[in-house]
Amino acid sequence: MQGMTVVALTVRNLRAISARPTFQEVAEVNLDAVYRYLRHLTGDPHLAEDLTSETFERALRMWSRFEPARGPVLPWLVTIARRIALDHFRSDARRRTRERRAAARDDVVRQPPAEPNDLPPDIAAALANLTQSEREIVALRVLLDLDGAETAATLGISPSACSTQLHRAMTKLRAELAR
Amino acid sequence: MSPDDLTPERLDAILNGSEPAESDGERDMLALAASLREGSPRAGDDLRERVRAIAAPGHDTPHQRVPGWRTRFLIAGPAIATVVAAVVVIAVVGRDDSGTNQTSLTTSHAASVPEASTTGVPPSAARAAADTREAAPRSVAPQGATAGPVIVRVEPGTLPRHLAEARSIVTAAGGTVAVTRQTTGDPSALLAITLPPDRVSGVLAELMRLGEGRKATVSDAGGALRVLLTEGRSP
Repeated sequence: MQGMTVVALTVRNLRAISARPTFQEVAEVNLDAVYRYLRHLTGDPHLAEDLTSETFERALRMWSRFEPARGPVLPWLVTIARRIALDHFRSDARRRTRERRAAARDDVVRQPPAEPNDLPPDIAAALANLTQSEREIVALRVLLDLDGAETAATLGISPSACSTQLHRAMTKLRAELAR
Repeated sequence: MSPDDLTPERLDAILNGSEPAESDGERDMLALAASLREGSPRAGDDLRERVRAIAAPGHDTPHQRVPGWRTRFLIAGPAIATVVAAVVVIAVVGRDDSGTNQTSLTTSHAASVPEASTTGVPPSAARAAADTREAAPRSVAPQGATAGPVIVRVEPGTLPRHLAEARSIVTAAGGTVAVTRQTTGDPSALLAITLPPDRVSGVLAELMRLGEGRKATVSDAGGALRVLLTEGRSP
């Protein structure tokens, strides 16, 4: 009986190993999602492209540490992307402070998208009125289709706080569209 | 049900697809989510190519990557410490090896505290000599050594034998002997000897009898002697 268990576990492990995708496959499948997330987070298509590229560079370096058994790859990639974006915002804020630009221009993520996307103009305008955290949670939960637990883990908040913030963001978005 | 009645938990369930939208407000939310998904931007061709180039095999695999600063520190730190330790050890040992013609370096200590019955040395003196041996740095001329060595010229070809005899004489007297320099071109061996003070003259006389002694007296031995055993004409 024990022998059968060992064999079953070994087969399962072999399946897990063989099921591990290559990094190329992961990049191909998740590129749009990562870009979409960064596009909504930054509001800047060029910046989003640079950060997406940087995300996959870093993800490749960390690829050997990714364990499929611990969860899907997209939340892992989004966590990396988020860290890179936040690092960028911090350094950008410092630069702007040094340059003594206007306070309104300090918050990069509050700027409306520099280029139009495929969204209807009213939805794009409504999204631009959301805060960074509201846009981020909409991007994660709605655009990337992460579930509540994955989104909460990515943002470092509790699942109930995640639900509340999503509800607030969607309600605000809907209200903006109703104007 | 109006949209305002939509609870966070209910919105979660609807977006997850675990519960169907039942009211107009809930259906509006689902429609809004669908609009967001449909109009969501896609990566451009340039970015797609960039990421493909990054992910392509051979670009930079995790096994080929340059180690980060933590890894470098973890590897380089102990390596540098090891090299420094090795250099220090070599420098300390090398101090004994300064002679150009040196062939060997040996140090001979009397075995622990010699027995009074076999050496004729009082136990207290033997203990003092042993303490001196422990405290004395290896291969360094003992404190209080005379300015010049006692030169004992021996017959050609007999240096190894006389060296062994000198060692046995010193150890039998409760002392220690270290060969601080030994040369082969003009065979000779310089001995640093530490003895109980009351044994110095006796040991010196015995050593002089090994060959032809040139310096028969020591002004201030203080328990330490330097003896040059040589087969050559001059030291």
